[in-house]
Amino acid sequence: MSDQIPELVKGFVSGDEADFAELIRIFRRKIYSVAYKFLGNHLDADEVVQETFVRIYRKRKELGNVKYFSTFLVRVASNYSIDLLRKRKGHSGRDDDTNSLPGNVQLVLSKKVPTPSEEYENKRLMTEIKLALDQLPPRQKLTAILHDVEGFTKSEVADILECPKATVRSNLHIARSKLKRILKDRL
Amino acid sequence: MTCGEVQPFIEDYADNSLDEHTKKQVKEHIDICPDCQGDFDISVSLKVLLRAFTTEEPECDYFEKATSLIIAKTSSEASKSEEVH
Repeated sequence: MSDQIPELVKGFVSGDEADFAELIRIFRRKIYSVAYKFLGNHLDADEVVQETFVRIYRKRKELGNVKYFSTFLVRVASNYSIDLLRKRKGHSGRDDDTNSLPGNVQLVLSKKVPTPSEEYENKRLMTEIKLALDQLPPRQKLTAILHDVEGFTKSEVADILECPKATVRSNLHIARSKLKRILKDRL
Repeated sequence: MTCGEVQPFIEDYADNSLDEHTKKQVKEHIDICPDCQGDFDISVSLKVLLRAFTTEEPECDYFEKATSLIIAKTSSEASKSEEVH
């Protein structure tokens, strides 16, 4: 899929509306996912999705100079999400192998088809993670979501947030330290 | 390596982002140090927990509707822009 992105971007820049529609189809879930996890509700995530693509459309002439379309797109979405969070709240601020995990994490994540009680426990866990992330300042929260939840590399996060990789590492370290403290009963 | 030397690398070790030489040194220490092994386990657990963080799916036709709205909005802007020029 990623092989076709540069061609689609090229087409979009030169005015091909079908290529724009295809780019939306490819990236809309990712943008929604980042925005929902950052803002915590559907309405705001929806606003981010729509506004991100409208802004990209307005900036399409600049896209010829963009090295990686996906990180540029997530950057636009991230900036808008941070603005929206501030507007809403004011200025207050892989290892996929689960076999060797301690108690609670393994219990919740090991079943593919959860029983009702496991499903309830899983929802409770997701709420706890959300509340823990909500306690982080916006940049730390976004860094943790992009890297630890969505799986972007540190270099990609640095590109998205337009900061040095060292800042990403530092924000990630602080965010994780706080999350370990908040979620200590789950780890 | 001592605990103090290993600690700054534990998260990178959990991320699997260390070079082979450092990774080997950190592993050798963690294998014999229960405290650092404990810190490593917590880092891995947090990683797994966050990677598993999911949110509720929107309604099944949400993405198609959102795409139509975006295209309608950008097409309307493009038409207005052409009229001006």
